[in-house]
Amino acid sequence: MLWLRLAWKEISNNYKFSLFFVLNLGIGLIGFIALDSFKHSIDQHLANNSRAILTSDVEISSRFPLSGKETGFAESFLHTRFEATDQISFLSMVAANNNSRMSQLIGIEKDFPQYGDLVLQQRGSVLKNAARSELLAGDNIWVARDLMVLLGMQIGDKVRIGAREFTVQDVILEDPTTTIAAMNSFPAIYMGMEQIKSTGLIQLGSRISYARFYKLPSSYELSGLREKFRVAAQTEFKEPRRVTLTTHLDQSADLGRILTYMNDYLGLIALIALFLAGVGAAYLFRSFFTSRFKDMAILMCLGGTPKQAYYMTLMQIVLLGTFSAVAASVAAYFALPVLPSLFTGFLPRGFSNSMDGNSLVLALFMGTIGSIICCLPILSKIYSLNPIGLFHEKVEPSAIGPHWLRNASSYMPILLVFWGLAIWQAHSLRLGTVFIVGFLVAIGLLGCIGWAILRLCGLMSGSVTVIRKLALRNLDRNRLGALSCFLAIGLGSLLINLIPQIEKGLQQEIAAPARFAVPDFFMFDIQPEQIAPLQELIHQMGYELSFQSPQVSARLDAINDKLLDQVQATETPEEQRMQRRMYNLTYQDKLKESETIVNGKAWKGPWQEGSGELPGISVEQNFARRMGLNIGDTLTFDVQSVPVQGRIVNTRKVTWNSFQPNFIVSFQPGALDPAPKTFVAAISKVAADQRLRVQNSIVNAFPNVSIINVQQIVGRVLDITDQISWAIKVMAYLSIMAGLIVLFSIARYEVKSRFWEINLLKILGASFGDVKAIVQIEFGILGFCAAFTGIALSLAMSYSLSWFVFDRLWRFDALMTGLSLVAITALSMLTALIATLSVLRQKPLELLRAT
Amino acid sequence: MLRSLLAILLVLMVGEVAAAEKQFTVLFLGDSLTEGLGLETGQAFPDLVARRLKAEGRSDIKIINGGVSGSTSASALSRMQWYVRAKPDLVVLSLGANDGLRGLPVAELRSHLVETIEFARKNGLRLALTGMMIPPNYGPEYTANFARVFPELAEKYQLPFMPFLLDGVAAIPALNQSDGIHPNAEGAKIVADHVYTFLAPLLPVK
Repeated sequence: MLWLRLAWKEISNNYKFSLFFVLNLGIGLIGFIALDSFKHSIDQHLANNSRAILTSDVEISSRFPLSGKETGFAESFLHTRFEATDQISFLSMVAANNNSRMSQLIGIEKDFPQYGDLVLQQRGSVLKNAARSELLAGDNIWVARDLMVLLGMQIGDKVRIGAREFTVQDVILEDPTTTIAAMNSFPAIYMGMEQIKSTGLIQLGSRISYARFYKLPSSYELSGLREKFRVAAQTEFKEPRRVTLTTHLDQSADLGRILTYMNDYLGLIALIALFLAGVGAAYLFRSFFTSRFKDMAILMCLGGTPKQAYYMTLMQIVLLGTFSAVAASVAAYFALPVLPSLFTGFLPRGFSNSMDGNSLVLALFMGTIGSIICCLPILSKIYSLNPIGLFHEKVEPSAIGPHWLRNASSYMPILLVFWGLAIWQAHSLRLGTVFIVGFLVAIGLLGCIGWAILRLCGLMSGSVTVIRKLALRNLDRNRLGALSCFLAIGLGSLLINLIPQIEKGLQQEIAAPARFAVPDFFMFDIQPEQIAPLQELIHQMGYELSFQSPQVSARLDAINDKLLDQVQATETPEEQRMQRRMYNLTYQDKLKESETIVNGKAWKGPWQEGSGELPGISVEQNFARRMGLNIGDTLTFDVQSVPVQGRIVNTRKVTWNSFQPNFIVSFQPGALDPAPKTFVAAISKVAADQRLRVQNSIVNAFPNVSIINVQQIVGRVLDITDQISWAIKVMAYLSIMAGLIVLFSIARYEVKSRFWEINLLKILGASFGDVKAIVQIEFGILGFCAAFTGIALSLAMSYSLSWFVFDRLWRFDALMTGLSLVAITALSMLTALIATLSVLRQKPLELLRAT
Repeated sequence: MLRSLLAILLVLMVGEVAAAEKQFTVLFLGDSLTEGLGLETGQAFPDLVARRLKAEGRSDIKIINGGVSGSTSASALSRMQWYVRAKPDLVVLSLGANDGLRGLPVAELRSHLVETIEFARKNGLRLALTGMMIPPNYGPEYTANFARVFPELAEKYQLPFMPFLLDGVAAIPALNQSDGIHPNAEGAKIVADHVYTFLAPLLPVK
């Protein structure tokens, strides 16, 4: 209690300084809380969108009724609390008004859906009213709007399903469950679980999908769960893949991959926020502590022990740190929910920003425990503090004392705590560890470079004007102080700049390039003889058939005449090997818009038989790398029992998210033309109200052609992708903003701590202009060099991070790099200038008294 | 087009044609059931039939597995055109399952099979037909109409007919893969046995 009282007295005696300290630390922590909370809100928002497609977190499904043993196994595998709901679905022909259509029957329970919502024509949201109970109460069904049109039905009409008749209770307007995986998207009919069982369609031999959906705690780790379950289930049931587990991340390969990137990216943002706050707080704590050496020396003169002196100052810091954290939390609590309303229209629909408990706890941790950990290294220095220093200009502990071991080991808690926090924040041991190692290397490098630069300043001070000489010598003489400032600014710049480089790489990978418009329909299984009449039909409706590509199914038999079984590693799972060996080949005379040759040459004209050469083959670059293929290699395909050999003449880069039919292997025309084939094609620019008409006309005329309403199915995924792309950009800007705020508070503090020197210069007769110039040069050099070094290191670190975590997605963002260099230098100089002006405005005597 | 097709086929199939002079070639024209989707190489029923024939010393019989996963009866004609140059001695037509699973109109299935059968006849190809049924969940009317197509065509064109390719295997979980429709290795053996029994009288006597 004594320490608390003493510390409080100190704080209230120096209330001006204390307020200033609290303000600086608070500003830095607000930046942290805002960034961290926003990250959390985005994470939640995107995950909920993806969950809405599956309607749950996790689904287990089987083609056979789920036994109690199977569900029991799945639930003990999940090993957490959950809410579950069952579903049965299958395809069936339904009839009404003397017409019949294939549709997908879905039997649900009252808790469906666990995420997302169905929107009905009369009842509106399924979640918000008693719609589900009404459905389950009798022989009622909800029917997709498309089916209503196809069968010419109205609400209240009767539909024959299996052995029974059902009444159309409502029409489904919006259904988030239409996923990209559905090749044959048959219109849905929802009914109760008991009702679907009563149709008589579930018999021996029926092809039914049985599923149980689970809602899990939001913190439950889903990545990799499917594979873990597959292995566990195989061991348990000794039967491969009878029950499969799907998480909401697994529904679309692309979406899952992008969400994983996003997760890691947000983890990285959280780390940046943590380290920015850490750098800011550590710098301020240490500076504060160092500035209190004089008081400690006095205390020791009066008979206090080093320990007592330390406790008193530490208590002061803990109190001030706690005030700052509480003040920052209160400010953020009120400000954060208001922020989205300022950006309506810019933010995605349904996005809400609220303060995350995690961020709050971390901010408080930074303010309290953080201060203790950050000051531990100085504790060891107190033992080298000599009260005789009171008679010197500055009181500092002797640099190297007998306590070097204690000195070095006092840094360990900081390291361990930050390592732990990094793993916790990033939700990834790998990302957290890569980051902290990178950060330590960066600190080492920054320290060395900073030391060299400051030394260079000293060496260069001989041959310049007095003002510059003073500025350069100041930097050299006060090397330790300048170095800590250099480190803080350098690390800040490093953290700020990590994000834009990764952001650019991710953006290029995720966002569908603007030049590729998403078509409205994709069609598969078009037979060669159907191409001409299909073109005619589509032309009559006022549209054009585009991206027409032949597709030939073939098995890869040999590479360079070596049978594939001898080439491939035998340990690959059987399933993968089978998939790898069946390919859809195409042939084309020229490249598509979505393709570019990266190696080799394009072919000229069709292959001529008898030319003595093999037909040319173009392979996608990643496939070539995976399979170890080079230009000049031969591939032999079994095209429906006929061997066709070709030679690789080029490798291609394919923009997979271009929404065009893309192929891994493409042949020179002439070789595959006579082979049995089907065509894929697309239709674009169909007005929304015409889509159903177009789709129906095609289905009626060419029933074997599979048609996908891309806008309807991919639209939702694209919507999420767009939001992710937006979020990545916004987070990048936010992290820069937060970083600049932290740097501002550091620079402000640094200048303020130079009162003594500035004052001295004033007393010695330096003009306002001279003092201003000296400070500007000092902070200009410090800001520029630190920012430059930090940014250079950030390029290296972001590159290695992208290598380890983001599948090497890295692009140099010159604009952002240049801008942040200018911004940080300018910010350092401007902050220095403002703070200097306030010092200059005061009378030297007041300043002398204040110190 | 026809010239280049002939030329390429000659180049590609010279070995096959030369061998065919001595061998009796059986082509299985089918879908994933014929291809053996999800099975190890050599476990599909045409491969098992070929192995059994070989074990019995029938090196004069050559089996071609012409199964393509996902293919419907709509692809039958163009594929038949691809194989006709190889002059198979017997074509076992096993398409239609995907038409059913995708709920395609039964009339379409019938017309595709008719044009394929007629093309085969015109080109002097000997044909055998296997029948297919689809799961009862597709509705009583549709499943009945679907199943009727195969015996009717077999009778009309007087084709050797195997009523149900998956007889004794369909709907038995232990004999099917996890998707519930493709036979597993055990199931494929049973299918192969049935097909062998069906095929044996159609092969030349050694």
